[in-house]
Amino acid sequence: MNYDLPPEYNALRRMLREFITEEIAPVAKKIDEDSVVPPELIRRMGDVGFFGVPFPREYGGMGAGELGYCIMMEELNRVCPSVATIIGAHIGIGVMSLYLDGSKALQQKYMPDLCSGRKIAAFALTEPNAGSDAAGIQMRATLEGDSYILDGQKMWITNGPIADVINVLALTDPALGARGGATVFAVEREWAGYTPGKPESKMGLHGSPTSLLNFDEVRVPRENVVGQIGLGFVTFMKALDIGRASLGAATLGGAQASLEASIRWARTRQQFGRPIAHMQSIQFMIADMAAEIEALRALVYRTAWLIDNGRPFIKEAGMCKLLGSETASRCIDRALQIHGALGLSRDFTIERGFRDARISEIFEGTNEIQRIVIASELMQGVGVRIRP
Amino acid sequence: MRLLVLLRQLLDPAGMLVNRKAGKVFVNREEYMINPADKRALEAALQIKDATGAEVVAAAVGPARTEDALREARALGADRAILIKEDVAAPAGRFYEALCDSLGDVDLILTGDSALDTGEAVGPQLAEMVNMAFLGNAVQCALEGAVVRIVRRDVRDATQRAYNGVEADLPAVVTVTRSGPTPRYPHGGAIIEMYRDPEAVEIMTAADLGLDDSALQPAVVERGQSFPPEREFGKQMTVEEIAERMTP
Amino acid sequence: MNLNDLQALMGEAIEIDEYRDLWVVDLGNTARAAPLLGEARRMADSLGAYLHYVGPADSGEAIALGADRVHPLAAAGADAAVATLAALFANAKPEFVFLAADETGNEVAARLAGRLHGGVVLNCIALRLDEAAREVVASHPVYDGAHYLDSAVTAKPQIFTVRPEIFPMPARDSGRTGEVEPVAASEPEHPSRDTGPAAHTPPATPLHKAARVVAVGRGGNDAATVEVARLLAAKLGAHFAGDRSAFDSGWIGKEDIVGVIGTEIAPDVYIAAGIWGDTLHRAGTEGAKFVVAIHPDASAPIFNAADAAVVGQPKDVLPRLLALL
Ligand SMILES: Cc1cc2nc3c(=O)[nH]c(=O)nc-3n(C[C@H](O)[C@H](O)[C@H](O)COP(=O)(O)OP(=O)(O)OC[C@H]3O[C@@H](n4cnc5c(N)ncnc54)[C@H](O)[C@@H]3O)c2cc1C
Repeated sequence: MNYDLPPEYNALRRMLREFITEEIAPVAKKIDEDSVVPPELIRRMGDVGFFGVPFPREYGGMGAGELGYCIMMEELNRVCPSVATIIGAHIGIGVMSLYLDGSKALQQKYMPDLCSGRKIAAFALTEPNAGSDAAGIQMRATLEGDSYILDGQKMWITNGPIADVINVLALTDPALGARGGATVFAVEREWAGYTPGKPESKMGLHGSPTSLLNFDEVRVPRENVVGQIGLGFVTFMKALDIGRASLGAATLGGAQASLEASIRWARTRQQFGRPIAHMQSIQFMIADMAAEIEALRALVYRTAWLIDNGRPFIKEAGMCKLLGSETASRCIDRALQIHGALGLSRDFTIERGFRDARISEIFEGTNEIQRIVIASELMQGVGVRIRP
Repeated sequence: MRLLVLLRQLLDPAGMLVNRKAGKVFVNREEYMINPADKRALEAALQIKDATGAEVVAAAVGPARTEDALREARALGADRAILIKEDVAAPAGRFYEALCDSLGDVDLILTGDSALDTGEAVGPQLAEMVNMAFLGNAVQCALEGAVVRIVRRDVRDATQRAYNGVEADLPAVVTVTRSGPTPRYPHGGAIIEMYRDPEAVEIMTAADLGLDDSALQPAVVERGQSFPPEREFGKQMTVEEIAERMTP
Repeated sequence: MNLNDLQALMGEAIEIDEYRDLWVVDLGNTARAAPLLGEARRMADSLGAYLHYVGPADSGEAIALGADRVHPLAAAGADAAVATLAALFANAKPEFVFLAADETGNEVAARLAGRLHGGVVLNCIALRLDEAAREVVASHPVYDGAHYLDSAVTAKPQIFTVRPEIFPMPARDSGRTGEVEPVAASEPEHPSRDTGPAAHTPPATPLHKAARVVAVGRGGNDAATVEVARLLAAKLGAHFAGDRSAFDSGWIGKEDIVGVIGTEIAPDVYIAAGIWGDTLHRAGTEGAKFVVAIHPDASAPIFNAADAAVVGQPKDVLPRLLALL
């Protein structure tokens, strides 16, 4: 067993960390305040490969696999969860659907621009009436000659307002329902009938725009079907499974940032004539954070290894998301407590971290749904089939 | 046109803790980096490559781990990278002098003005060894035909804000300061590729370069370390003393 | 006993070291080079060697400051200095050479080391002569002064550039005698050409990366004094900033607040004028390498983090400091 990262990944992490520290950290607060990531930053991130980490070099990706992708998400989310979420939705679920099941022609058409960040992808599953019950989607796609006509609404879509290519799931055969009757389509933002909504006003992730998407008789050529007709739900679930591992990596970065800030403040802040690091209650919080983070790190990187080595990983990826989001929430909560009033200051990082962390327990399948995913994987082994 | 960039790999100070009281340097994280001024020299070379299509060869002397610095240089755009795999205290200039001989045509050699971890200045020493023109402390560097032009701080200017142009005919050695061109970031995919390519870095030894033991005698040896006095807080100072500290 | 007898006696050849004497090279900035004469004189005396001075200073003056032999050399560029000194040293074979550590001194010293196959240590801040080993162990800063290496040169000649401020100007002894020997100037083989003033705009450094920061707080400050602080910052090429109280007073923008609430800084020099220095402020300035604190109240916690403390009103202190720069 070897717990050392291969040297290329250490080098990659170093480069990413340098870029993030130099180019993103100084503007992270402003990104939150202005609710926008400067397009120039997106362009520069694209130039070094942030938007295509796990995808092959021939498409302009980094060819760094799930492992590289997890490293990038960990480093990015330490500093700026807004940017991490833009990229997570872009790579982890958006481009991933295209990469997993898209035709060669479709991949060649879109992936180079997507991997370089010249174009941004979105993954549109959730609808006003279909959240956790993703199979309850109602959006229609009707065949008309050589095209499908898409009609309906998607909601809470990350990158909605800025996405150039939207992978959307719609019912091609309502009688069969989502499982068997839904298909993924790659839609371009310029196409008639497609209108993204205005960004939602959210508690956190202010720099990561989320919106409603309106599809009013959007004509999609048949070649823009991603994967097989009727099997779109499977494509989307596969992408979500992979996305959960990298979301776990992101939460790892967030938790680590909470720990580092806490250690620093515990050393600096003096009360009762000594640094608060000497108070046992503070020590316990820090020790608990560190222990949970260490366990999470082992889980996340093992799961990345499972994915890169073609092993079954669905249960573990669900665990990454579940354990990661709850660990990160606990860590930022403790960090806030350790920072006292400073923790609540909008001019300091903890408050933003607190607002940004909470969402991870909800999106990409709520933690309740994760528990169901994990349990059903476990129960399958004893012949029990669980349905949410 | 061939440019040779000399890189030194050194311990990243971010992982170091200097304890003046204990008189010790603690290395908490053993991570290495390219000497910051050398990295700017590499950037200057890559900009010349972008403008003229010149070939950029990166070279370094050091133990096996030094390969990382050269892989990074390749990922950044160097066409070739050569590691002189020797872990001896001999002056780096000796190796580079021999390397220039073995490479044949080298039109311009670029490197940092000094090494962060030793204070050594390889560039000016090498310029004399290989009998080339020398231009030091560049913040900008460009080629025009067979002439290299640099911009550097005007040493005669007390405000430290004036700059001066200097040029020389090729072949020449140029050193670049830490205020030189801001280094680019490599594409992450290039990093992965250069690490996976077993031929990304060419390895040479002193013997390959025809250097024997007599050429490998050290010129400078480290006898120990010392430390600045511990910081003393709250010490009263006069305005005059403070003013003195502020003037270069 | 002559050398042959001695060799016969010992049964082996004795190598007589032909490198001898100490040389101080002055490239034109005599105020910086002259202090080296005092230190080199002491070394010459304990080694029983001669001290040479090569440079533009008046020979009588150089002798009065400690030189035994003076080699007049007009100030010229580095290329010319290297050519002339290399030729001179190829014959004279100096054992030790000292130059003032500045851009030109460092360049010439290193090029000479390359040309003469000697060894060089740059930017020394302390020199210790080991008479028995006939070597100088020199302390020189590494990692931007975080610590020093103590290095010795094992090749010949041993060349050092020395920070001028570490040695005092030697006492003048007008009774000393010495010789003057002319130097033959050599032409550089590959001269560089000065093309005159050039445009260069260094990239703007944001507050968190500024090498120098002057910051104000409300302690004893008023709008007029804040203007003086601003001038001081401009004079020092420093970033002008402040603490929370300065922001509350409208003297600085929000983006220029220094502290954990605001921007954390780690400059080489931090001048805090009228800043009280609570934890929130000081934790954001921990990385500052040299802190000057000016505050009217001697109990201000900023003094616990100050390398230089001035208890006084900024309105008195700042104008004086500005006038001295
Ligand atoms: C910032 C943000 C970004 C998002 N980005 C995207 C995106 O890019 N693409 C996309 O398609 N969607 C996206 N979503 C939508 C997200 O995936 C859904 O919000 C999530 O799946 C939950 O759906 P819901 O909000 O409708 O909650 P509901 O499904 O209404 O759930 C409400 C509560 O009931 C619980 N619950 C529901 N069913 C069960 C059950 N069977 N057993 C136990 N508990 C249950 C849930 O866990 C939750 O606590 C995003 C959401 C947000 C907030």
